[in-house]
Amino acid sequence: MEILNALIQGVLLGGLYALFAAGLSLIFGVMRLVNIAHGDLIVLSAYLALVVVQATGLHPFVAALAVVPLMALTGYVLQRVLLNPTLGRDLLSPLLVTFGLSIIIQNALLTHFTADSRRLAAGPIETASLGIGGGLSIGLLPLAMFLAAVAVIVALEFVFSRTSLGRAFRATSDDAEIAQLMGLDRRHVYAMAMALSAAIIAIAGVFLAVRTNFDPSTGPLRLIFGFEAVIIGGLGSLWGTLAGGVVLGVAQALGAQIDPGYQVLAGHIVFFLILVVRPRGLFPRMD
Amino acid sequence: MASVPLLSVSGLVKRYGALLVTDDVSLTLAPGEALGILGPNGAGKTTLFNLIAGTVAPSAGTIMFAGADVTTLRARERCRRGIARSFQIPHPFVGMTIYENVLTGAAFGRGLTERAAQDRCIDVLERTGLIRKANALAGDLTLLERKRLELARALATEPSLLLLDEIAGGLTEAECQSLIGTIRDVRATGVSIIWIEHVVHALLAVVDRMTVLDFGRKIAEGDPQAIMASPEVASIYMGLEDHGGAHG
Repeated sequence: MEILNALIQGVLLGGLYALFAAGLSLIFGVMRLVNIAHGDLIVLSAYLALVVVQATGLHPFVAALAVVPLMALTGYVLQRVLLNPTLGRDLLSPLLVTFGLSIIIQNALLTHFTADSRRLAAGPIETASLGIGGGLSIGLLPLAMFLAAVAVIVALEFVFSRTSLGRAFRATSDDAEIAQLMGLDRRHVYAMAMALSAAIIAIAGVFLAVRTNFDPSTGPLRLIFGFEAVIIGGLGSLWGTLAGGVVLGVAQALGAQIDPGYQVLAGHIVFFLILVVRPRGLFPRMD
Repeated sequence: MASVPLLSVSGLVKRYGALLVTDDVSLTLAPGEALGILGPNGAGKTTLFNLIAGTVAPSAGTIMFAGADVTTLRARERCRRGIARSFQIPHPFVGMTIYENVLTGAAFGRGLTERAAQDRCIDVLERTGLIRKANALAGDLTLLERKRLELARALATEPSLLLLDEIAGGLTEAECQSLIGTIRDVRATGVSIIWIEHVVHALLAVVDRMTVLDFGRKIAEGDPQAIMASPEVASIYMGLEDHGGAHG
């Protein structure tokens, strides 16, 4: 029974990891940019949510309505001003610039908010749960995170396959030079992709803030979980990213059953095993 | 011939270090006219297209299009003004269907609304004979279909000038004839064409005028039949004509 319970909790936790990963996957898919600052942007949006909640007294989930567009705007400007000029044949420059950005965000947060860990109170939903029989129950908050992850992936699939923005993403990702000849502005398309990624980052940040304590240094581990989910799932596949998050979440939950200290380690071990057995991930779409 | 040319290229030069790829090329194209460009491999034909389409910046010279100087405009801005090109080696967006490929050109090439772009897309697919394969993935097409897709995607941007780069190359005679028919139909709608081609009989079936490039320089220009009969061109093209099976 405990194992089954751990499995369920792991699957739901996987939703949060998929939220960490979806924006990362999107950016890599559209412009082959590995955003090292991704985790720190998640933490930045958690702090942004904190500021909004403190200033307005709104519930964190309502505050998200302000945090999401703010982060999307930040993402757009960041891409236009800082990241677009680094994109080219060399993969190293964007890597270094986002690494630098990661350090800047961490230190700016440290200066502003100190190293104290924070948390957003979400009220009764934090402890509410649904009994599903057999002595098992599902926490409402983890369930909400999982459903949010599914909703984000359904929305991204829709954007990619059905909208003109999605076609612009796919065309530019496929061949940016030809896309220019079709009248597409690569700088704008990339900035829109980063805006979308940052909107997902904001959702992940708000969930992070209500689920657990956070401080300015928590970003890099979120980045690693995100990376692992993307790579387990297979590059280029959004549903694969959800599956990757679930695999990671389940591995961590089962590891924690063995010994609480094994939680994070178990995730990394499963990640390495999958890399060995299926180096391209479970559902690869991209070479 | 109309008094204001659609395209006027003057003194165009492109250097890559010491290599002179385009050497003082000038040419004009009247609205509705079709110009063929001949020349051996390495003559700078494709570079000339890159310069006109805006993917490569010239070292010197000017490009006037529809009465405006477009020399410094980006490729996407030139596309929006009505210059479209196809590539010698087809470059479809391989992860997309034919329909989505063409829709991309229609939606962004002229900034059409989604609805208008869809209508434009259907129209172009019908004209280029791809409508029945609209939902096929572009990565899974035969060479002729890929060439047709190149043409369709370029047409979707509603060009007034269409640059065709060896679009008949590699096709069988029957495929070539069917493509010639499509290109003639395109021309009949008033689109001006510059066509680089080694398959000489295909060119002769469409163009009004012919320009010959060699070592980046324009060495001859004029009536297609006269150009083909000139000894200068014959010496360059002797081998190629046999090779291409042309009988122009």
